[in-house]
Amino acid sequence: MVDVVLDVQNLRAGFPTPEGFVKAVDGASFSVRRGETIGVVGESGCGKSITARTILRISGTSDQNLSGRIEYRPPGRNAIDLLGLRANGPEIRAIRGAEISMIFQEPMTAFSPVHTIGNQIVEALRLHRDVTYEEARVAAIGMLKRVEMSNAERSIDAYPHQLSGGMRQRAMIAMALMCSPQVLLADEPTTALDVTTQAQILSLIREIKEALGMSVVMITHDLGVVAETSQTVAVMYLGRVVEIAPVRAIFNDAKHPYTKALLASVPKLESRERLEPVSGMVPSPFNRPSGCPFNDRCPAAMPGVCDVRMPSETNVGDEHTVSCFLYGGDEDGSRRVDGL
Amino acid sequence: MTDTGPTAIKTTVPRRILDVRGLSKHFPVTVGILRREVAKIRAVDDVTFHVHAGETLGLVGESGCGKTTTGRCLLRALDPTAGEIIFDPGDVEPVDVAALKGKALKVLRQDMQMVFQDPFSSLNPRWTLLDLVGEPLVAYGVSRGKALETRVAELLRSVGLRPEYMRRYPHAFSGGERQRIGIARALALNPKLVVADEPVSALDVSVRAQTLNLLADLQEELSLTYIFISHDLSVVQHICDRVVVMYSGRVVEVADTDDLFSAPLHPYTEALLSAVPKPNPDAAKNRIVLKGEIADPANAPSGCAFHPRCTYAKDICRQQAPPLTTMESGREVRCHLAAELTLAGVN
Repeated sequence: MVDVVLDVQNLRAGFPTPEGFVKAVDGASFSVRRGETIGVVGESGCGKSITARTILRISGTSDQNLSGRIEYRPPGRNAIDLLGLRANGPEIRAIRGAEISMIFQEPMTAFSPVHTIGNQIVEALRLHRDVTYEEARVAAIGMLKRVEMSNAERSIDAYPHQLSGGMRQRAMIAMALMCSPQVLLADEPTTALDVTTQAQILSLIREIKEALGMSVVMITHDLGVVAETSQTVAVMYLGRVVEIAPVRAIFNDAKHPYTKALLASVPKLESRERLEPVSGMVPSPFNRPSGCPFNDRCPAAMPGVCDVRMPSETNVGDEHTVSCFLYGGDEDGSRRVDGL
Repeated sequence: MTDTGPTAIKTTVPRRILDVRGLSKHFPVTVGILRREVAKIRAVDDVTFHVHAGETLGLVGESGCGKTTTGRCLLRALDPTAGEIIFDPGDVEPVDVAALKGKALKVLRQDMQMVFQDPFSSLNPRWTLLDLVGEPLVAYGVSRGKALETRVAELLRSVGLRPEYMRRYPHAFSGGERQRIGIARALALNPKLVVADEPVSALDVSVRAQTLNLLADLQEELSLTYIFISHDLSVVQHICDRVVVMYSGRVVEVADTDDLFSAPLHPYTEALLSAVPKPNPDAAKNRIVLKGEIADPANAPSGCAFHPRCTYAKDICRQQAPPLTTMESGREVRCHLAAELTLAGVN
């Protein structure tokens, strides 16, 4: 049996707004194995960030707008359904930042501007471990060195605005890793950075992941980042995981029309052929198409089928599942069929 | 690319719509209430390149390398500290944009327009599409009233937006649609040269592809010349004919796109190319990870600005700043070691 550390099943999360109810995540399912990096890709509004935030219960959704299961399986302890915990209760707070931690896209807004990064990193450790300030500070300097922060002894006393974007992101990673988490949720960790800095940060995350044996959920819109970092890829569209497969299968043998379209929209460094983007735009969250969420943009949509019912997940290969009627998906409903 | 002989060059050289020579823009660093100048930020320092009519020239580099400042100086959105910007629209005498003033500058600006990076902050939220796209036409007294509406409708149609949306405000549109509005506005006065500053970096993958196709179609239809400022090398390779690579305010390499990507001559270009994540899990991963950060233009290192991060740096690189040299192949590069090094491209 595969060693799963985090299992998300049929997750739904929504927000009531003055314009109507937004189903940000609408039946997403995937699981994260111990020690692997799973890439979650999709365009803005597909629910990838809300999924990550819901795992930590920081998405701001009230309990009645949440459903599904997020099972966290810590080593040597019983599995915990994170959705069953109170959003601000002591149980989730013991996990948040210690066992599952997160790095955010914009380190300038994620850090508090009025505290030094050192104090913020020390706080992250002292919340979860019984150590003195001095001990924590020594550990923080050690971690800053580990993330290759230039001049760690001095920059620990810097305020976030005194650091460059790349250095701030390193400080954020150091903070997330202080308690040696089981799972690291990385929400677009390199989107705000230059390519050369991005390469530095990605290789840093990869090295540390291997050294600590943690799992990484890499949330990104950049297929290049996914190809380089992930072993498994989940493609999200309008709040659902439409395809999930090992990374090579996604890039060489994509099944879902959306995954194919996404791959065709990326300019390749090898060719200058005209791009073939998906027609149209991601529908507004208030105006979702009925049936399969992609049917109104899909070149292979079958009228009478795709616009009526929701396809269920079909297994099309070794650990490769896709939600599309082209490959079956006939069973009505959206529950994932699995043997867990 | 193929015409290497001197005769071939003479016969096929296209018109240079823009010839930039020694362009510099220095920002003073001041202290105190008397604003005493203590240092200069050499944001753009002795930049020389040219643009052929009808081509797309890419201007690439990391943030802080001066690419946006260069773009803004070309349009005189910023006044350059030094240098010449010779603009040759073809139908009238060439002019030095850097020296123009008042009325002459206003007339010239019809021919040079800009598309901005952020489609949210570059459109006035209180203006309708008619106001936004029609503004240049009104400002230049080209048309008004019914004729203005007809022209705006035509412009909106040309960028793939429905003319019925003319009375709506920008908030009703998505990022991709807003970028189309920005493009329509830039095209209103039939410019010859469009400076596009990171026009697709705020857009999602599928919308980005649509916008790139739109830019390519418009270029063909209206015989436009683009200066395409971007940090995204895969986009640059897709859309540009030639590329200027900048580092710390200076041009480090100029080459045809295919040459640049297959055989870079400057170590910085090589590192930049190798840093791009490739959407192929089986791609070779012999990555050059640059150490350190981009040189601070206020406090540039001695010699070659790139030497502290360069894996090939020798003593000469630390002591002397290399000049921008034209190689035998006609390519330009600013590196002491360009003739000795064999660098890896991406193909």
